[in-house]
Amino acid sequence: MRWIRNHKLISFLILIIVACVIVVVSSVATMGSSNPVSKAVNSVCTTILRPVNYVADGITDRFSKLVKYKEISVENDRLKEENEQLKEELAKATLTAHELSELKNLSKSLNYKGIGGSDDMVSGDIISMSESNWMNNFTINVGSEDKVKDGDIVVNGRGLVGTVYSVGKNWAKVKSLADESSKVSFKLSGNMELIGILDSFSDGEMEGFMLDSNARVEEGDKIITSGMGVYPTGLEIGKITKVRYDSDSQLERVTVKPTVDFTSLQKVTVII
Amino acid sequence: MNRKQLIIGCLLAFLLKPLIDAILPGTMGNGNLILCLTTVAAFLTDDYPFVVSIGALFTLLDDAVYGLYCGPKTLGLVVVCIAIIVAKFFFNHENIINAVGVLAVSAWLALTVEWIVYYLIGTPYSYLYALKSLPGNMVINVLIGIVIYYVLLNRIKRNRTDRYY
Repeated sequence: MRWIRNHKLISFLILIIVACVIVVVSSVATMGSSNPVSKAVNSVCTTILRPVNYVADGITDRFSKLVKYKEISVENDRLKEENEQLKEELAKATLTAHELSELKNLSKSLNYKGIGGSDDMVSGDIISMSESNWMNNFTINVGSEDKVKDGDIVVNGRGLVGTVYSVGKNWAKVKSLADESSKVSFKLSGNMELIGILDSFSDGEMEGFMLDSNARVEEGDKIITSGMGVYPTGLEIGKITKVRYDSDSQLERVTVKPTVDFTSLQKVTVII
Repeated sequence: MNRKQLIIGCLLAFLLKPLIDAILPGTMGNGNLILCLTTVAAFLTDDYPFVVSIGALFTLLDDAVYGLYCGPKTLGLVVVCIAIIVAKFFFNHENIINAVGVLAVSAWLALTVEWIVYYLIGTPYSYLYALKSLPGNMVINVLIGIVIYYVLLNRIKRNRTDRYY
């Protein structure tokens, strides 16, 4: 006790370090911010930060429009062309009312659960990303009141973003695909019969292997979710950047770069 | 910097974070205003327990709202404060070059401690990958920190002149 009285500053610093370690350990033990105290703090802060986010979104929107005016103009022309092509394809692929009702009956009888349409999705804005910028986790402004729950899949226009790992009333935290520790099964978008598994995640890139040792995969091939596991089928994951043959396992190993650019994310969609 | 100013500064830094993110998007790093304020306050004042407590409290809030886990960034800030307290025994704190050095080292130290904690938890990122965001964060932290430092240093000088001359 006398030592503590004589060394007040050192004692205080030791105490605060111990407190920090306890907070980290309890946070990890409760899987991030899922404990009631964190949830309450998060809800209050998100409510207070809502107007600030609104202003921030406005600034980002106007600033990016100013800076990227030429780029947007070119993209607009490209999208118009793409829209026309898609309209033609849609006209060819549209199901008749009879075919649609048959399919609905079939999916009901098979108890199939897929992405049913806009009712199964909710869009959200990114409130903020981790400022250290090397981890790709972020918070969005939709939560349990929008039916978002832990484990929901998050996507954007480019492809698979990640999963929700913590939810509050009006916020949710999203962990990117590159931060995942669980395995993800995929198939090549060019050849749906070629299936593989992503089993290792490092420095924002993913590594995996093809189940068929004779699979012909090339750099630049796009991969999509296979539908096995938690992710619905058909979501774009990324592009293969490297292919090498692993003589130990006798499998074709691939390195994949995610399609989604996490540094410029603004809006995402949660599949609920 | 008195206690009230530090609390208001940290509160504003926490609330304005989304705006700063919006102004400085992308890979260049967004700086850490709470770390800047705490670093300068610890460097210029001797009210260490209060400075560390307030800095840790607001960083904990930041961790809770934006971080994957609560605490890693807070631990980084506390380690930075301890390093500054030790450094003040060796360096003159009324020197702009020393202030720039302290601000730059504090950005690196905070990131390093944060990465070590995440590494122990099991992050799939290497230290070199984490360092990618350091130059941007360091530059922004130093620039903001120097502005705060100058404002505070001028106030201290004026008071001293009033008192002694």
